[in-house]
Amino acid sequence: MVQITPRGTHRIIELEGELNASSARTLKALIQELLEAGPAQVVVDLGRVSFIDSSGLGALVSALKRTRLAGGSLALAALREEARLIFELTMAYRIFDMYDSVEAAMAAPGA
Amino acid sequence: MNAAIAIQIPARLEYLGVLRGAVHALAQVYPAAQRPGDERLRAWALAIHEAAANIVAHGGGGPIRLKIEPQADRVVFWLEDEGPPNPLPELVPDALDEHGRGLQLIRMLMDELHYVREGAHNQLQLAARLS
Repeated sequence: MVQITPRGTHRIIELEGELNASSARTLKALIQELLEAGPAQVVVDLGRVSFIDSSGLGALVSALKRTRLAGGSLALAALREEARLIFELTMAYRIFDMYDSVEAAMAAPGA
Repeated sequence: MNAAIAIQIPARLEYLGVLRGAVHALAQVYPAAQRPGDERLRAWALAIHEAAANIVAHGGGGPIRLKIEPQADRVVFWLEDEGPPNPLPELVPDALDEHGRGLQLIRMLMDELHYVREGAHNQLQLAARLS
């Protein structure tokens, strides 16, 4: 359901299914573990996430804050139409760097 | 008008997709001229999900019942559970808060929201206009 793949200097977090209160806990633990090894350039691949609720969004915001605090970066990639609504309603798209694909996120300056 | 839909699920996160599915099924209930679009159905499904997730987080573990009444000009949703009293807080989080957005979302997505304690039950009534 959640997987980390190193690609070059980036760490790609692949999520699948729903990002809700349950998977949010998993994501937070994963980010914690990842950052213990030092600053990281993280790309969260949302291409297989069909639904995100407020807890899921909260976990992404938490991941963003923790990654930046540790001196790294975090970008979101491949957000699907079905899961877009919560970003628009909360205007969360303003605080995230969002890209159409993982490749685009990795190629972005500063990502 | 159309008959009401009623379903019951265990108060567990993995069942909330069933509630969202019931909301999306409203597309089949209305005649083409009144049929709510995908965006609207997603909005209602998110609101019902957030309300039910709040029940899971605060509830007593009993079942959650959802009744949906498709009316001519609006849809009314009732969510009922047997947990301890769970009135709606008035918190408004900012963009960088990690918690408390659920209720804010429900208020944005629904035209009406009422909470009542009925005996040993919490009842949340949500309503949205069709147009």
